[in-house]
Amino acid sequence: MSGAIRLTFEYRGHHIELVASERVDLVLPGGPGGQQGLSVGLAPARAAAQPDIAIGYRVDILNARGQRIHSRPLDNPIKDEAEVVSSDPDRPFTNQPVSQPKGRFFVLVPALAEAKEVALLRTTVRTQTIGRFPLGHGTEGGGS
Amino acid sequence: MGTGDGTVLGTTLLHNSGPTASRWNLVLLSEGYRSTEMTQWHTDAQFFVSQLLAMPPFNEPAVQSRINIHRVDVTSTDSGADDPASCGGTGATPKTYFDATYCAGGLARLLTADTAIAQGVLSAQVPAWHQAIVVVNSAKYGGSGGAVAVTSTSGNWVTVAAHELGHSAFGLADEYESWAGCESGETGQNSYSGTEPTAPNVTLDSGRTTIKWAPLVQAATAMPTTRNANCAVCDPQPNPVAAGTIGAFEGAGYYHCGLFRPAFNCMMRNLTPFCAVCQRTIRRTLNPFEWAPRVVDVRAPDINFVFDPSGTLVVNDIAPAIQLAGATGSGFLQSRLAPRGVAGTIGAGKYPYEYRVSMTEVSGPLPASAVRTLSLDFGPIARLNYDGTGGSDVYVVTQGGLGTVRPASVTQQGDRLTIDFGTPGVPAGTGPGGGQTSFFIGLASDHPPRDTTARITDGAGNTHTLAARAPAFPTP
Repeated sequence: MSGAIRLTFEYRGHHIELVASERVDLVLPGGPGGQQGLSVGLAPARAAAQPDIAIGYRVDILNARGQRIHSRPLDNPIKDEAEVVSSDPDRPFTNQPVSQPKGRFFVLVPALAEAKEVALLRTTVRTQTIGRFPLGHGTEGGGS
Repeated sequence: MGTGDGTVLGTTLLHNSGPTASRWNLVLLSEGYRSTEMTQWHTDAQFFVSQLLAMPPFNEPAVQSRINIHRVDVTSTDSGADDPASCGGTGATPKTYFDATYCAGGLARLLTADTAIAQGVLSAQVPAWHQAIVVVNSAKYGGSGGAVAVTSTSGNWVTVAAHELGHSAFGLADEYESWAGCESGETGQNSYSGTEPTAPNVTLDSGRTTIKWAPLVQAATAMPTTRNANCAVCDPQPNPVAAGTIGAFEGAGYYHCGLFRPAFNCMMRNLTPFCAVCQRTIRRTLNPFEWAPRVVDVRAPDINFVFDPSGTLVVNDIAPAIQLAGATGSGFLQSRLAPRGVAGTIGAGKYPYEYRVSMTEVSGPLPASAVRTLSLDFGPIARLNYDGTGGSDVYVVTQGGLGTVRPASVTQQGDRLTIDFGTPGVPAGTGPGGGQTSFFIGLASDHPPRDTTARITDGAGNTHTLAARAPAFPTP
């Protein structure tokens, strides 16, 4: 059946770690590149190229040689601000900063046979690797 | 507080479009409902489903048929959610299963739940979940986003939840033009100076041919459609174009200037219906969740009354030749058009399309000399009640017309419609006149016809491209 892995990350402030990777039987959503919550598969010829990612977080899936075989952008997974509904029907939303953000976020990626590691990266002025985690790391939620 | 404060009773499929493993699965979890309030929970969950499925594009059969919505019944010892006094709340600390609380991060209206507990329930009840919403039994406004979103049942909670789904499930950015509010006096949101956003519904680029949503921009629409004359504040001007017009409206992504949104109003701006760009994104996201059109048998000439009360249709055909290697003679692919459905008929305003594959004049060996599949870009199918049994997407004229071969299956992936005639398909004969023809296969569309191409595959696995007619639906 369809192969996918649900990655569960936990964060407290800007400290993030992978707490579970769970094999799940589901279909991955489609959509344009850069869409939050969606997988952006890479053609083999592009796997080693720089991803089309500007500012923000992304998850890379790496093979045993550390090469990127899949990449997915994440739209601000750290909830350090919150959208709040206002009383103005024409402009019903405002935002406010959240003190001491903490929580979980989830990333669905395809279950690729050659996948060995997950890398979480953040690009601001430059790209920083926040963490590299072996797939199967963490058993919460079923483990892989 | 937590899992000791309630019980998971089980899961019910409220909207069932097919096997869960092949569908996009939205899960509703109850929080702060006592066992005696389960009836209210069922009412609230059903209300959510009926409201969501009435919103475009979730009201479309092709979208609905890609979605399953599950209701997970979870009781709590007490009603509601924690409401800390530090945020001006009542100080209540009810015992609830997911330990929901207002005042998360010090914000009175930020309502969160224990995501780890929710994940455990989801893994056990609906492991193939894509998006979950914890619905909190509380009349006080609150909510939070994410793949496990949280909402109370206050006010227009379903609409606000749909906005959150826009973010977490479909990758849509906020289209409003301020961060802290237009009346807040904010100073850091005047002009966006970053790179092109990855979200599909905000952009730096207002070029008519280069903007992300260019195919949806009409030639008569000015580009950009609005500019903000004073970037120190939100643009106060009213919508200068017709509601729903897709263009480039300055002010989006929390900035007064420098970023453009596709429509003046949208769910992602001010809780009005999703604009056409956002609708398109939602459809694309759900495309991989295969949809099987509903096919019904009909008879001729009864089918004609669906589109014209006289029962007579003036048709317009093209029939390009099908020539297969190793076979003699030519078959044809018939594309048939008829006038738009007449007012007062079931098919009022819809454009009918029919297709037929004929191999009657072809002779050749099987299995090679047969047409196995026909595919073309048809786009959104209009669902009509062709046979009195409810909405259907495809009809097959099995009585009163030509043909003997019916489709083994009709599927649609994205815009691509594929009619599979199975094995042997539409076969050639052993001599001239001995081959077979398919029945007429009909569909309807909201869009007028265009000249296009169709692809057929033969029994040898070869593909052939032929002229055809199909709806001129908007394409990306």
